[in-house]
Amino acid sequence: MFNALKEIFRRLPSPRFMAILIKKEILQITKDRSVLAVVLIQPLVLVIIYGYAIRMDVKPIETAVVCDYQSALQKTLADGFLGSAYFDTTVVGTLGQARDLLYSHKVNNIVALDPGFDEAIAHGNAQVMVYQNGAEAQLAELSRGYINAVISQSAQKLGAGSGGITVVTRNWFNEANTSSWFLLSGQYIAIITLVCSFLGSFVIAREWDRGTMESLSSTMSSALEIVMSKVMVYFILGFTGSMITLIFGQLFLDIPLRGSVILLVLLIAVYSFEMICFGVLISALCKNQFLASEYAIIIGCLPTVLLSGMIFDLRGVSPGIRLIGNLIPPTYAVEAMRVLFLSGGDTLKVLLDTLLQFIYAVVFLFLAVYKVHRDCK
Amino acid sequence: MNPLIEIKDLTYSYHRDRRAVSVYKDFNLEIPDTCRTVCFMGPDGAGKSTLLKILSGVLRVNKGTARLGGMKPESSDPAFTGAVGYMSQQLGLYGELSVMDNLRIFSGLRGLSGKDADEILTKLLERVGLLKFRDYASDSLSGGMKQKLGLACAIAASPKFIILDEPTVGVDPVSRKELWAVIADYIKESGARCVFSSAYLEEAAASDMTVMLENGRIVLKGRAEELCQSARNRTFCVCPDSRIPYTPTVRRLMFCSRHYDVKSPIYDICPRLGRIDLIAKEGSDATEITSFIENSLEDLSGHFRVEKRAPRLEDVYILNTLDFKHMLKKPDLSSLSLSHENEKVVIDVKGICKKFGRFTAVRHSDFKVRRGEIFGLLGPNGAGKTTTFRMICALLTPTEGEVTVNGFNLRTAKSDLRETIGYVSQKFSLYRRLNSAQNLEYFGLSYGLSGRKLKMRIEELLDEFSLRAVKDVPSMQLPFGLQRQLSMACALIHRPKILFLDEATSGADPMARRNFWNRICALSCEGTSVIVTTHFMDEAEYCDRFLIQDRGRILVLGSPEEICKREGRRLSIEEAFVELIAKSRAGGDDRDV
Repeated sequence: MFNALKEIFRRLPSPRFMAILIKKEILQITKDRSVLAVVLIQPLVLVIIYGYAIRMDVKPIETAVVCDYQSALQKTLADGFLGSAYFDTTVVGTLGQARDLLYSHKVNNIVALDPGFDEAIAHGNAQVMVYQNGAEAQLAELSRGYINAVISQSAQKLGAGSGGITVVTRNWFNEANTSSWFLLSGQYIAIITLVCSFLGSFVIAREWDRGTMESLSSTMSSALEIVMSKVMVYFILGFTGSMITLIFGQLFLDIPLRGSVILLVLLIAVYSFEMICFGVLISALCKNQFLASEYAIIIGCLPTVLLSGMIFDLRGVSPGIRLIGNLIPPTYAVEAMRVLFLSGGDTLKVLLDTLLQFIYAVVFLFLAVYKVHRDCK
Repeated sequence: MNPLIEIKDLTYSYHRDRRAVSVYKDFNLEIPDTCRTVCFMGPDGAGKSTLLKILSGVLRVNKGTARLGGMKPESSDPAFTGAVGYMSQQLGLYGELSVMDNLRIFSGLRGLSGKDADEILTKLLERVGLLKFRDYASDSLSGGMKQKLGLACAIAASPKFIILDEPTVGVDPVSRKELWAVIADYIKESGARCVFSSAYLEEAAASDMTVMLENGRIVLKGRAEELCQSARNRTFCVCPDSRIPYTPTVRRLMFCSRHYDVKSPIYDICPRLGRIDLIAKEGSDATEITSFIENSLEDLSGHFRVEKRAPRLEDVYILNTLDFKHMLKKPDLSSLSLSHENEKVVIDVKGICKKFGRFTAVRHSDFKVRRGEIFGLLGPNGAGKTTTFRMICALLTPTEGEVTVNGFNLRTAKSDLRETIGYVSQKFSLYRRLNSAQNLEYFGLSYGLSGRKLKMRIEELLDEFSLRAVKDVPSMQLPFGLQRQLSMACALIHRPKILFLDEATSGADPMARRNFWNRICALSCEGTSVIVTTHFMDEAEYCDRFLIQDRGRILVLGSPEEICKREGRRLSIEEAFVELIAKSRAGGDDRDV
C-alpha cells in the first residue's frame, strides 16, 4: 500500500503536462458529440421515465361510493371522492348496485356509509365500510391508503376531528401520497450513477482499445496525470449532467425541497465525482469499452437501484443482502437525498453521508491510478 | 560509452486465457553504441514488437535487465521517456483530432515546450509533407500519411533514441522512400540512434546492425554484408532467353524445387528482375543445377543459362528459416498454358467508375482477367485499389460501368457468383473462437458442401495447409502465419474458380511470403484465376500481368517484362513504380476534379 503510494507520487503532477492532457480531453469531447448526448439528453429521458413512467401509484382507481344523499355529511364525503384525482368515482344508491359493479370489474372498491352515519359521527364512533377487490392485492393496498386520506380530509371538513371516524391515516412529509416524490428523490441518485459511471467507463478503455495508451505510456506523463486529467474534465461534464437532471426533475415533477440547496448541490457534486471515479476505475480494469460500459451498468447502476433502499426498503430484505446494501455508497447518498428533500432536518447526517461518498471517491481514484500505473507506467 | 542495447537474462511472458505464453527466456543481446541504426527482423510471433516495447519501457520484464544507452527502460521515469521516441505498430494516434493537435499533444508530453514549439512543429510538418493537412483529422489521412504523422510525433521532441515498430508496414514504395529520408535526416542532424523492426529486408540491409529473431531467440546478428557471407556459393540465377515465356517458366521451375522433389538441388526460387533467382543445396554448382533443370523440363534445354550471383540478405533469411518438414504436392501442370492469350476471359471489367459523394475513387477502369492468370493490382495508398477490388468481388456496386464474372453480370446475378469466388481479406476475419476444423466446416457448409464430400475436403485442406497439428486450437490463438493459412484454406474450401487476395501478405516475413506464392502459383497452374493486391512490389514479379493505379486512374497495365523494360535495361518493379507515379503526379493534381 505504502509502496503503491510512493510509486504513484514518484513525481507530483506537472501543471504543463496536466494542461496538455486536459486540453486533449476537451478537444476529444468537442469532436465526439456522443458524449454530450450522454450528459444532456440521457438525464432528460431518465427524469421523464422515472418521474412519469415508473410510478407506484395507480390513478384514477375506479371506485363506487354508496350514498343516498340523505344527509349533508354523506354528501360531503361523496364529494370528497368525486373531487379527488385519485378516484374515478361512481355514486350509486344502494350497496346491491355497487356490488354488481364490483363483480363485473367495473370498480375496484366500494365505499359504503353506515345508515346511521350522521348519528355515529355525533357519537364519535362512525364507521366506513370499504369493500375491495382482493384479487389485486397491491392495488387494494394502495387504494386503502387513498381512501383513508380522503375520509380523513372529509372528516376534518365536517369538524369531526381525528376521533370521529374509525380509520384515520395521516402521512407526514408526503400528504398527497405521491410515490414519485418519495421515489424520485432517490432516483436522482440512480440517474446520476448511470450518467456518471457510464461517462467514466469509456475514458481509459478507449485509450487501450485504440492503442493510444501505449503512446501515452511512452511519453513523460505519469499515470496520476493521465487519470487526473480525465477525471477533472469528465467530472465537470458529469456534474453538469447531474445538475441538468436535478433541474429537469424539479421543473417537471416539482418535488418539495425541504433541506438546504447548498447541501444538496454539494452532495450531488461529491456523488458525481465519486461515480466518475468509479467509472474510470472500471475502465482501467476492463481495458475494453464495451465490457467497461456493461460493468458500469451491472455493478454500478443495478445495485444502486435494487440494493440502496431506493425502491425496496432495506429493512425488509434478508440480512445478507441488507449487508451488501449497507456497504455500497449509494445507500447513504439515497438516505441523504431523502433527508434533504422530504424532511430537511439533520444536517450532520447529510454531511457525514457526503463525507463518506468523498472517501469512497478517493479510494476509487487511487485504485484507478494504481491500476494504470501498473499496466503501463 | 554505454552500449546502445544491453539485455541480460531477459525473461518475458504474458497471460492469455489464464495460460502463460513465454516470449523470451534468458535472452541476451548486446549492441555497441557505434551502430546508429539497428533492425530487428523475423517471422510473425518472433518477439520483435515485444522487444521494442520492452526497450521503450512500455512493457515490464519479468526477470533480467534491459538497458538502452545505459538507461533502464522505465515509463514512469521522465528522464528515460524524455530521451526516447517510440512509435508503435498501431501508431496510437488520436484519430478524431487534427494532425497538428496530435503532434502538439505527443511532442508536449515528450517534453517539447517553449514559445518556439509551434514553429518547430510547423517545420517538422513541412519536412514530412503534411503541412497542407495540418487541420485534417488524422483518421482521414491515407496509410502512408498516418505513418509519417506517427514518425513526426516520435521525433518532435528530439529524442536521443527512436524506437520504431514496423514504421513502413502497409506503406507504398513512394511513401516508404519519403519516410526513410525523414528518419535518415533526423539521425544525421541529431546524432540519435534508431532501433526498428521491419519485414522489408532491404531496410534491414541498409541498417548498421541486423538482428534476426525467431521464437524469442537470436538466429542471426551482424552487418548485412557479413551475414551475406554465409550464403556465399549458394546463390545462383537462371537467365532465360527471350524465346521462352518468362512467367510460365518461373512457375514450372518453382515446382522443381526441393519443396516438391526430394532430389532437387534447388532450395528456393524467386523471380526477380527478369531472371529467376535461386538458392542451391550446399556444394551444388551451376552445372549440376543446369543439368537438373534440363532433366526436369526438357523443352527448356539450351534456352537458359545458370549464373552465380551475389547473395542478398533475403537469401540469408530464407536459408535460416527454410525447412522441408512438409513436402508440397506438385500440381497438375498438364493444363498449364504458356500463354493466357487464348484462355477464356473470367473477369471482364468495362469502364467502371466509383464515386463517394464528390470524391471519385476509381475512374473508368478497363481490364480483363483470363482463366489461370495471376493478376496484380498495385498502387500507392489511396489509389483506389481496394475500391476496384471490392467492386469486382461484388462487395460494392460501381457508379458506372459493368463487371462480368464468368459471363454473369454482377449487377443482376450477385448470388450466382458467390460459389465461383473465394475471398481473403487483409484483416483476419474468421470466427475467432472456432478452431480450424470448425471454421472450415462452417465455410464449407455455407458454400453448400456437406456430408462426406465436405469431410474429405476438410481433411485434404488440413494437410495441404499444414493445419492438422493445430486443428483443435481456437483460431484466435494461432500465430499470424497460421491464421493466414487458415484464411486461405477457408477461401478455397469450395474450389473457387477465382480467388481474391487483398494484401494477404501485409506484414508477412519473406519465408511466409514464399510459401504463399508457391501456393498461389500452384492454384493458377490448375486453372484458378487469382487477383491480388500487395504492397510488396517484388511480388508483382510472380504475376502474369498487373496494373499500376494512382488516384483512381490506371497508369499502366501489362506483364512485368512489358512494364519494366527500359532501353534494354530491366528495372525492378519498385523502380518502375516510383518512376511512373512521379511522372503521373508531375502531370498535375486533378484528384478532386
